Amino acid sequence: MGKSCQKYAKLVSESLDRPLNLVEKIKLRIHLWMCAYCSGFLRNAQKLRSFLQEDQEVSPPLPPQKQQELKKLVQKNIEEGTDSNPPPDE
Amino acid sequence: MSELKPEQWVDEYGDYLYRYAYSRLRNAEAAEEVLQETLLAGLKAQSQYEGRGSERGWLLAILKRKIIDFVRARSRTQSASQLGEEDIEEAFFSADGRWKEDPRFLKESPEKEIERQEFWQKLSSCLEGLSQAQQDAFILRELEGQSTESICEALQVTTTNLGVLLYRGRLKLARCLRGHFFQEAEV
Repeated sequence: MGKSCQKYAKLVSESLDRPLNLVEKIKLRIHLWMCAYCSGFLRNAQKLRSFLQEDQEVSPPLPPQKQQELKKLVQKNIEEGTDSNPPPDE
Repeated sequence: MSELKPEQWVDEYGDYLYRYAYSRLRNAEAAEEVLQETLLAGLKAQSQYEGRGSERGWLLAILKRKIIDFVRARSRTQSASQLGEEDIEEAFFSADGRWKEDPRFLKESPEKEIERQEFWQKLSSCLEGLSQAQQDAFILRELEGQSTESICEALQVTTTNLGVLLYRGRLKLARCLRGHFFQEAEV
C-alpha cells in the first residue's frame, strides 16, 4: 500500500481497455509487485471479465411458448404485407 | 445472392438470437422483448437486405442494435433514482491516494450453477448503482466485448472520459460485490 495507489488503480483499469506504453507497463508492474490491494483489484477485474465472457454459454433456450407466439406474430406480419411498408429510418 | 425467408426465422434463428440477447441482458423478459423487436424490425427492413452475408448475420446485426437501445433505455429509467451519487474515489482513497478500503471482491470465479445465478443477480443489482454512462460503458465493454473506439462513438465520449467511466464503474462494482463474494484473508 502506498500513496500512489489511486493513480495505479486507474492505470490497472486502463490496462484492461488499452495497451499501456512501456514506461506505464514497467511502473505498474513494479507497483503491483509491492501492492496487494492494487494487484488484487487487477486480478478481480480480470476474473470478472473472464467470468462474464465464459458464462454466456449457459443461456437458457427460447421458451417454446414464446417461440410459438413469435411465429404467429411473424406470420401475421407477412400476411399483412409488411414488405410494402417504408423501411425504418435507422 | 441469397433471399430472406422470414417465415423460417423463428425456427431457424429464434433460439440463437434469444440466447445471444439473454447472455447480454441476463433477463428472460428483456431478451424476449428484444428478440421480438428484432423480428419486427427485420420484417420491415427486408428491402434493405442486399443478399450479402448470411441471413443470421443480418438478423444478429439488428439484434445488437436493439440490445444497445434496450440497455440505454433501461439505464435512462434507472438513473432518475441516482441523485446524490457519492464520489467513489473518495470512498476508496484517502486524500493522499492510499486505499482506505480493500478493493478485492472476488476470491474464486463462481463455478457451481447456483453460485453463478447468485452472482449474476448480485451483479445486476450492483450495476444499478452505476451512473447511466458508467453502466453503458461497462456493458458494452465487458458484456458486448466492444472496442474502446466503438464505445466512444456510441456514447459520444472521448477515450479519456471512457477510461474514467470504466474505472469508476469498476470501483463501484468492486465495492458493491465485495461484501458478498470476497472471503480472502486480510493481508
